Order: sequence, then C-alpha cells, then structure tokens
Amino acid sequence: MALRLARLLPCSARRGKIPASYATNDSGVLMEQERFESWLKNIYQTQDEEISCTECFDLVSHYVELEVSGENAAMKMPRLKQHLDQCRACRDEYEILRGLARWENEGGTPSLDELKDLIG
Amino acid sequence: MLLMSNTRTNEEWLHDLRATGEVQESATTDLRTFLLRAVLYSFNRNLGDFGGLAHDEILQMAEDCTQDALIAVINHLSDFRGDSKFTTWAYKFAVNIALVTARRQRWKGVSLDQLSFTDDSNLFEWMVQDKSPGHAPDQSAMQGEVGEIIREVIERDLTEKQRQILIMMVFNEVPMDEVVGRLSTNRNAIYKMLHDARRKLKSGLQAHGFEVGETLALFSTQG
Repeated sequence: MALRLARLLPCSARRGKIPASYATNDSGVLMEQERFESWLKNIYQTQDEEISCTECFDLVSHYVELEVSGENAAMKMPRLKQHLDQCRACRDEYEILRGLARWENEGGTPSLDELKDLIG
Repeated sequence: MLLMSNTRTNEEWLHDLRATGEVQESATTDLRTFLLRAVLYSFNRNLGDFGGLAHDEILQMAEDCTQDALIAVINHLSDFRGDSKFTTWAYKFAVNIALVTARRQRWKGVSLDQLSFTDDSNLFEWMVQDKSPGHAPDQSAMQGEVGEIIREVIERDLTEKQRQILIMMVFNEVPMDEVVGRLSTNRNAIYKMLHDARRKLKSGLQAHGFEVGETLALFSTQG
C-alpha cells in the first residue's frame, strides 16, 4: 500500500534524468508504508547526541570484529549501532565490511580472478 | 579457492609498511591485493550501479579505487589503534571508496534540481493514506493527523537546507555521497542536518501527544 505523503515538482524517468528505480510518478513522490514506518521508527529513536559519520568510520572495524567473534557488538557499542540504524551510507559500508570479515573468519574468501569473473 | 592468508600480525603490517626497500615493497604489494579484493567484493554487491559499463571498464575503476584506497591507508597508518585486525581496518577505506564510486556512477548525469524542493509551501501537498476497507475511521484520522504534524514541522520548523536534504535523501532516496558531492559539503554536515531534522520531527510529534508506541502501531505493516 502506498502512503502518499508529498507532492513535489513533477519529475519522471521519461524525462531521462533519473534512473528508473528512483523515478517518481507524474503526481509526485510515493513513500511505501513500510518505508514510512521505518522512517517513523528512526525519528523516534533519535537521540539528543549522536556520533558522526567520521566517528562511525573510526569505530566500525572494531564493531565488525566483535560481531564476527560472536560478541554482542550492539550492546557493547550502542552509539555506533544507533548511528548505523540511522545512516544508510555508513550501514551499507558496514554490511560489506562485515561480509568480508566473516568470509575471512571462515577461511573461504574467493580469489581475485573469481571476484573479477563475477563482475559484468 | 583461498586467496591468501594474512600472515602478518598487526605490528608486522605497520612495521613493514613503514620500512624501506623490499620489505616495504612486499607489504605494499600484499596490502594492495587485500584492498583490490575488498573493492571487487564491494562492486559485486552493487553491480546495478554499473549498468551499461563494460567488464574491462569496471575492472579499471576497481584498480583506480584500489590505488586510492592504498594511498588512504598509508596516509592514515598512525590512526590504527589495533582494536581490530589490520586488514579489517584497511578494508573499510577500500569499501568506502568503492561504494562512493559505485553511487557516483549510478547517479552520473542525473539532475537533482527537481528532487530538492526548497520552497513554496503551496507546492507541498500532503494526502492521507488511502482509506482501504478494514481501516477504522479513527485510525485513518489519526494517521492523517500524524502526516499533518510531519508536514507542518517540515514546512515551518526546518531550515531551508534541512528541508532540501530531507526531501532529497528521505523521500527521493538520493544517496548521501551524491548529496555531499553536489552540495560541496561532507557527510558529517549532512548527517547533522538530518539529525537536527529528526529531533524537530520527534519533538513535534511528542508535543502533540503522539508517543512512539501508539504512533508506530498506527502505521504498522505487521497487521
């Protein structure tokens, strides 16, 4: 179900300016209810003080290794967890870093040639 | 299948990268291999961002990212505190650069002008959720009230810049690094503006008596 929240200047993929996955329809922006619910949660989880992206970058390798070693990283580093919940850019990087660390931990990382072959 | 084991301890990485001659050369070569792996792994998880590019072009971008990451790691060696494996710490530079590159490729040539509504509240209309069967009238009314409060806060309480960034990133899902690049700013500044916007939205909702539990229940997709 689409929750129609805002009507902006119309823009569409047909004008060739936006990748299709980001296109709006001609009447405006649609935010799916699930995404709105997620955004509402983020609003309510806002803290007065939150760490910055620089601080997150500084700490995320330690956070990832706590997780990979089976420790409760979110409990030990709650402010970092909170930033990751709020910041899509940092969260995307964290998820890839965690994937790399898990792979290494399990000893099954692919070779460079295998990774290159997977591309395009 | 195993690429290579990390045979160096953290201390050995730092020592060898700071050394000279063959020792440094060997460590730099090995580090470069680790970073390229991280870049390729990152690209593989975001292949949609490279639509239209040939295989060799993507691989060249990977090599360029790896070189940038190598320079970044070397320049930040003194920041390494040893609270993770050196390679995990180094990977994050590669992952960051790789994802920024992927997003930039995806959004190349896209105009953000029409996605960054900044002004004229008469262009900013809100509609409530469609009243589907099964929705209690009072639930729909309360949903509408929440939407109205959010609209009011965005129109009245946010600065123009906060509003612009909120609309680009939250409603139009423009990636942060695109916003950073187009507005010639940095991630921390963007995050702070979004944080300030969230604080105002939270205050606005709470001031009208909409606390977290009941408000989330109004919009829950779980039933």
